[in-house]
Amino acid sequence: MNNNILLKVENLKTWFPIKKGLLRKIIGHVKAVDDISFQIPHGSTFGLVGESGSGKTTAARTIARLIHATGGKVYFNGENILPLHQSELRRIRKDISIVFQDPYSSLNPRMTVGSIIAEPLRIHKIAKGSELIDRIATLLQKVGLSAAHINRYPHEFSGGQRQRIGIARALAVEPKLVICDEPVSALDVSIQSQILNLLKDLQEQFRLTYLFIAHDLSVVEFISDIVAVMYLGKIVEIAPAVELYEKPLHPYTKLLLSAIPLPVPERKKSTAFVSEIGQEAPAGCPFSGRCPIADGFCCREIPPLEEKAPGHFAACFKT
Amino acid sequence: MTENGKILSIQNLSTFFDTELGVAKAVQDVSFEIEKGKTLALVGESGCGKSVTALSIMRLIPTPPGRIESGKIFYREHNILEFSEKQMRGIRGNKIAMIFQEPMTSLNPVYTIGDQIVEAITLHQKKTYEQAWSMAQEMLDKVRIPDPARRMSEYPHLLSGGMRQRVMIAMAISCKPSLLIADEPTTALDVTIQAQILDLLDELQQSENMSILLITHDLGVVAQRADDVAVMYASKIAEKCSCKELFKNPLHPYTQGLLHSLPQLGTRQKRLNTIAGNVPEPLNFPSGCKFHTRCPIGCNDKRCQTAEPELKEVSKDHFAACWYAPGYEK
Ligand SMILES: Nc1ncnc2c1ncn2[C@@H]1O[C@H](COP(=O)(O)OP(=O)(O)OP(=O)(O)O)[C@@H](O)[C@H]1O
Ligand SMILES: Nc1ncnc2c1ncn2[C@@H]1O[C@H](COP(=O)(O)OP(=O)(O)OP(=O)(O)O)[C@@H](O)[C@H]1O
Ligand code: SF4
Ligand SMILES: [Mg+2]
Ligand SMILES: [Mg+2]
Repeated sequence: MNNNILLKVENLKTWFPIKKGLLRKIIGHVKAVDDISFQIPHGSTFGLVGESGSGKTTAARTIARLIHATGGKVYFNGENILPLHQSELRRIRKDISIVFQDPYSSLNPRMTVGSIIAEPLRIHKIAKGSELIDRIATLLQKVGLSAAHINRYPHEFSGGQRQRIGIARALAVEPKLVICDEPVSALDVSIQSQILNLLKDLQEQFRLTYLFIAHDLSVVEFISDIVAVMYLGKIVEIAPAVELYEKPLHPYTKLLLSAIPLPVPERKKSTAFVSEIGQEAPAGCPFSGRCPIADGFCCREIPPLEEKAPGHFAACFKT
Repeated sequence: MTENGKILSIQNLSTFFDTELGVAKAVQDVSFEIEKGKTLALVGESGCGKSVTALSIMRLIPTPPGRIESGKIFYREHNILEFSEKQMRGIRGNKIAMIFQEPMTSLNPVYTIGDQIVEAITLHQKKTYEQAWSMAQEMLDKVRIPDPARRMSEYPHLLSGGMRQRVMIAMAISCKPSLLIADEPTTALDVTIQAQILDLLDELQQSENMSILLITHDLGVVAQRADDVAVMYASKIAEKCSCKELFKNPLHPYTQGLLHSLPQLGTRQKRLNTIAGNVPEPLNFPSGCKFHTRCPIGCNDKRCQTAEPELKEVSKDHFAACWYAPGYEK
């Protein structure tokens, strides 16, 4: 395997059973992540965007071994980590850290900010005593909080401040891969910019690798080298960031780019499209139910993810 | 007393928290009004007091440690700060509804989605369980949750972040409130669904004449959906005007910095612009203008460092709290 690749995901599947009735019989599956593959080179940023509920968080949590994969492989530094036992996971946990989407439910309300950030440092025996305190203080400053916050509790902070506590905790252990699930969506633009600049600086300094999930397409464009677009459990397009924004190929990507609300007053109601999300995933292309150019064939056959230009993959029959 | 067209009028609201380290003045002297059928956007730096303002209107500030120190909040012609908790319950969730910033804090993990929306409906409307159930399912469909019938019997932790947010929205609009407080309602949604949800709110605004207090840091959303904007900085309102005016002619240096920090799509910036320095803490606000430590004009100016500028009208319907805003009477 190319040793420049830090993370390689192959045919990853995460399905959740749908249970019904008293006996909780399994009547089907939510195919939250359905056969996705991609790779992330060392020191680069892989952006993941897509519709709400398309499986981004599930993919992230599966890669971090927080949920069980239904199938596929996840190579981290060349080693498939999906078969690893709980006892072997500790070393992975230090190398892969995650900034969670919902800061409130991911911070223990009974722990002070200091102990929240200290926890991973203690578990992995990275620092203790006064060195530990120094590190926590430095981390807090880096994310735009201050050492004075160490003894306070999560509920005393605003939404954006809590998000930054989560970022500080994720960076504490000096991980190799940081999975950021909507890390800046709770932040106002000036702090958002500070955090994004910080993530870039840290990347240069420590050669960090990011898997970066976000809804804000301008943020993703800024931070990412490569961007993948998910729709209903599948990756429908992957391309270098510049290329994706300049020459989007998949109709869903085009729709996304056209729906960005621009900070210009009076361009009201960007929604020039009609779309209905179907009850179930359609038999053919996952996007066929909403796609403006879909035909009968699209509704029956699943388009494969194909390389349409060098490094630019799309899953659409019509591009 | 408010005039006819105002649904909400906040006058000199101050909300404080007693902490071990002293009094955190989270909101100070905030005033604004919202007209029937209009949207006011409240923007500002993380921690500046937007959610605390919203929770004050809902009378949901945890007391202690929090307290509404002073001010008046008129809903139509009633100062709801004088309402009893019982009177407040008749209004909360019914006439004034709120979409909370973090869905998981207000969804109960042990009840199904359906039961929670049904409860919100039956609390204020005379409906049978069955009627409320089908209304709830309809609401889920309206907020574009796929397969709503199945989702009704699911628990919140099975939903994606954006789905939880949409459940909250469904709950909040199920009683057709006359004022909707939406605290970062679309942060977890992709732009296409975000646009649909905002369109849905627009529709309600038109059919029910609903007013919206929209708290968001997405200036794109502000530009396209708000009639008026209030910009908060460190517990106070720094600037207030129509939406058009704000983008065309921002007067407060903080607002200018904010607009300047926006990532520009399609430009491949190497670094993003930021406002230098950190947000001041309520326990440790700087003297003078609270923005002076970060302000390109104020950092070296005696007046800015020592005296705090009040919010004043600097041109018609345009208010700013800055000694150096054009038109500001010193
Ligand atoms: N533990 C679970 N059990 C059953 N279904 C689940 C579970 N976790 C997630 N799902 C389902 O998997 C799908 C994908 O969810 P996921 O949270 O990965 O989406 P997402 O892309 O992160 O969306 P968002 O942008 O809204 O956060 C959703 O339909 C969700 O309801
Ligand atoms: N229970 C509390 N105890 C002490 N301080 C509090 C409490 N709740 C809020 N605060 C403080 O009040 C200030 C305003 O918080 P608020 O939640 O209103 O911010 P916000 O503008 O909504 O920010 P964000 O955009 O990050 O959500 C913050 O500095 C916060 O630390
Ligand atoms: S009053 Fe002074 S410090 Fe405050 S914003 Fe205006 S110029 Fe800057
Ligand atoms: Mg998610
Ligand atoms: Mg808030």
